[in-house]
Amino acid sequence: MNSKIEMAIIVLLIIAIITPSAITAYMIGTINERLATLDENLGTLDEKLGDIETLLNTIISGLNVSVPLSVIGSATPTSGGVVLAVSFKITPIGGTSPYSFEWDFGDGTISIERAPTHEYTTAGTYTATITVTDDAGATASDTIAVTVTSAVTKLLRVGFAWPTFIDPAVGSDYSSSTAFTNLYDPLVFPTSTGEVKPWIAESWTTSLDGLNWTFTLRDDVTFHSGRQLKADDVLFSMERLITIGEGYAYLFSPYVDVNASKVIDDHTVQFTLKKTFGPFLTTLERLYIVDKEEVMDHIVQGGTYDYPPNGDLAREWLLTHDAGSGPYKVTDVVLEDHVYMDRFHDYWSEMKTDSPDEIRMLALAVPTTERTMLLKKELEISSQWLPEEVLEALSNAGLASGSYAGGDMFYFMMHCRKPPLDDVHVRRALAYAMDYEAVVDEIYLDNPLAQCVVPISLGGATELTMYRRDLTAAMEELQQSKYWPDIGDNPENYEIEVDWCAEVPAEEGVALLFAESAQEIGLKVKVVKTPWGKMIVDMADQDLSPHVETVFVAAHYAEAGALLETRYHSKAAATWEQNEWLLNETLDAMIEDALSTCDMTERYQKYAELEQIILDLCPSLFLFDHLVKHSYQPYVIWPSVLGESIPVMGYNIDGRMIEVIPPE
Amino acid sequence: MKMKTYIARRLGFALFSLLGLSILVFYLARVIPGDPVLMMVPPGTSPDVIEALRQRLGLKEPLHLQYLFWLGDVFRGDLGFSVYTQRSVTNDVLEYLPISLELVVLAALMEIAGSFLLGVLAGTHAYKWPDNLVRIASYIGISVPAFVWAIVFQLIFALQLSLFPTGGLLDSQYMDVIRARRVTGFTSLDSLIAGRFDAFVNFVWHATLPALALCIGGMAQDARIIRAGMVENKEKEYIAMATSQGLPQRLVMFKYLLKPSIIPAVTVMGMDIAAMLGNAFLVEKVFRWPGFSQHAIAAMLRSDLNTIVATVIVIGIIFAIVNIITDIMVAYLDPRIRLMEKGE
Repeated sequence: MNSKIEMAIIVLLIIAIITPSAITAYMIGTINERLATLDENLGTLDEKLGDIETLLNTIISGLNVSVPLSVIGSATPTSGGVVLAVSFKITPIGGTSPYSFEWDFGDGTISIERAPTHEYTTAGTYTATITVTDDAGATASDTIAVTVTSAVTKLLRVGFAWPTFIDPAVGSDYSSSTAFTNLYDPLVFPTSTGEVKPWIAESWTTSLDGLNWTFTLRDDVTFHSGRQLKADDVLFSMERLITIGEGYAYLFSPYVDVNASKVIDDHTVQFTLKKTFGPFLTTLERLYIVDKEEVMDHIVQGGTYDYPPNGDLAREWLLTHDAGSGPYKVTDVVLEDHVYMDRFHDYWSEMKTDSPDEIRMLALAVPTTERTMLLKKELEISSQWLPEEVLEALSNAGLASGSYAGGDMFYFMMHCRKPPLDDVHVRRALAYAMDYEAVVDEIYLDNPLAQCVVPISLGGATELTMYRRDLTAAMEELQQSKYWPDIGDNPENYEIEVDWCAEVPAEEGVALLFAESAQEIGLKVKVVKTPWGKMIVDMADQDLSPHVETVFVAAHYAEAGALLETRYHSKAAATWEQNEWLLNETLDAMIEDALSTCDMTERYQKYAELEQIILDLCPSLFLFDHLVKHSYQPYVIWPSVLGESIPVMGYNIDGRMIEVIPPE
Repeated sequence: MKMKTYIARRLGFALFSLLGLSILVFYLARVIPGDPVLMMVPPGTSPDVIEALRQRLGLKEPLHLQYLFWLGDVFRGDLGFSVYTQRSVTNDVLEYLPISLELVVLAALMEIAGSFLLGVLAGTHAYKWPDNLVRIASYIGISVPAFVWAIVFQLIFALQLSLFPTGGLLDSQYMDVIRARRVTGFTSLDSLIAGRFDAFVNFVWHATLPALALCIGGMAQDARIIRAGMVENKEKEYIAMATSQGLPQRLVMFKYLLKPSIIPAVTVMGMDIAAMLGNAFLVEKVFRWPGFSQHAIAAMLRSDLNTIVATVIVIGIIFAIVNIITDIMVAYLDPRIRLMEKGE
């Protein structure tokens, strides 16, 4: 019996909770409908009221009795899209005329007219209040609610892989760099030819020795905080980046002497270099200007990060906020889920007519989810990680597909100090044996085969003869190696291990193709699936590094030298961008010499010489220039996939360039 | 009261196992390959910065000292710093855990309701067609992993039929409800606190498909267990006696047959529900549910030591709590266990 009573009480409780809520929800709906009808009727009523008012007041004055003052206010329309012009009317009854009127429109403006018209320029719910004062000093008031909705939002939702660090002193990967492009302004801006154009810096000069760079800044740039961008902010941004030392700091910390650099006046800043650095100007496309005051206002002392005397330099705050001047400002960040940003309407530079009002960077990890979202028009641009078959299915379903050169290359990095790969002839034999065509015909469809040591979009040398499949040449090379003929007789003693990254399944196909090619010249290859976390640790140690690693490497600024340095300079050994272990001092000196050359033509000539030397050493297989592929909605106009891409990671999903024309 | 000492003893055991778990996970996280600092910074970062980071994260100390420091911090409510999210792990746990718990609670309710319904249906119609139908459905339910259900449900109900949303916690027009004031961290409670019944409904609508995908395996399994228990107990003499005494069929069925039959199912159900929290990561990924499980897996892939330890221990704590609750429920359902405890 007891349990039945208990059950009954629980059921009653549930009903007691749900019923009122449901009724309230229903009532709100009904009331809203009624209100709308009432609004319409009020308009008609209003005209009649005007007549009645005159009549009433005539009668009242005729009767000579005093009626207490009351007031009825009305407005048409009471709701609509921004910009909403509303006509207000008022009917005072009783009291003693003449009356005086005061309207408070609820958005901070007032009027003393009897029947004013007011324009609401921003979306929101407002309460307009009318106060009437009669001749005797009595007052009466009435309120009217006005709802202003925003017009159709041009939304750009893009898929990304987390993490997205929106702090320019912390993030440096693809999604972080894309966030910087939209939230911040760099000192100079990259162009589709790989050069830079004036941006925050209007013009610049350099001293004869190439050590002092003076930048004149625009004077019409405002931060999202409303403050003007000044030279102080530029110098501070460099200081903050180098102090924290993460993100793109490594581009500047070896060269920029922060203490010697100085602010000359509000619009002039001078950077002093420790040694000459040819691509300095190009690297400044990675110097994003932060609002110094905003940063200083949000410093936290005593946390995990401490940069005395400036606490955490607002690292914690900038994880979910921005301090930029870019065309978009952050509205909401949920880590591992999304970064939402709204158009910044006081942006100094030009935007397209149909630039998105809001950009949403969404963390997406599952291709079927992306596919569903694209088909339901819940996503404008896919992530760049969709498998070929999904891209094809989407294209058949009416979505647009587009691609552009990502500025990265797919390398097979050969350990030049591990037998048998320590012999250049074995390396060349493998380079000749590889079936390059099959890679781009069967696995990474349509990616252009490598034309030089770095992606051609970075200004790589154009007259190089690359290794192509030639089994005769491969055998000849193998026979010249010091391991011949033993390597041909006992290939199992010379087993070559290829590690491919478990997180990029397509790499397995290429690794297997390599194994097959090697087998054709009698070499034995073992293909190993390795998680990214293990790869990084392996590659940090010369002995742990496997014979071959398969890795995509991108340049962090648009110059051949950027990639030559990270790929082949000894100082980048033991990182995941190098598995070659060349440790070649002559090469290091040549790379340094090229990078310190200020004259651009001369510098590129040196890059070309370097590329030829590297090609002869054959430390890597140069497979293809990576084509970044996306599926996107046909109502998006995206210059990057129409031949105007920028060869710098993160600059191709840019709200300044992309237009969204949503259907309807 | 015996029950109190019983619970206290169980709590003591739980605490002891959690301590053991923390030592195990703490060491394991540090021996698996992967370097949290190297995975966080770009490859060009100067060695000085990397060293300083290691220092700051306390990775330079010997392992046992690291553990003791960590334990000391935990008692002060500080679970350490996450290199993956760049903020305190405590903060992350407080943000992600409620989001997953809501999903798990909904899935648990569905699992309980569904397994009882199917189990009783099959048990009462043993060896007839409803039983066979439930059996086939259960085999499919048990053998197909949750993430496959997630993808299938998404394709059918979100894409083809457009009955449910593709993913996420809430539609964007309701986001401001929770964005403005996160009181509890539970989206459902926060929307009710804000007085937004519409946001609450929207949330439940979003949670339905992931919760269903998450609970199907357990539901199928529990239905089988309930059915088996009922079929087995039906042969017992006390049922024959109750029936021969002329008690109404319904009374025999629900009071004398069902109650003892669900005891094994309750134990399994408890474990299933606790395991959901850890196993939900692919379902969460498919439905873009920014929850605890996907966060834990992401942290593991990035060798984020403090997060790995914290998330595993949180899952351990939840297991322990659910275990104790299950034991109490079983003791309540099964007089033999209850009396045995009292007899001690």
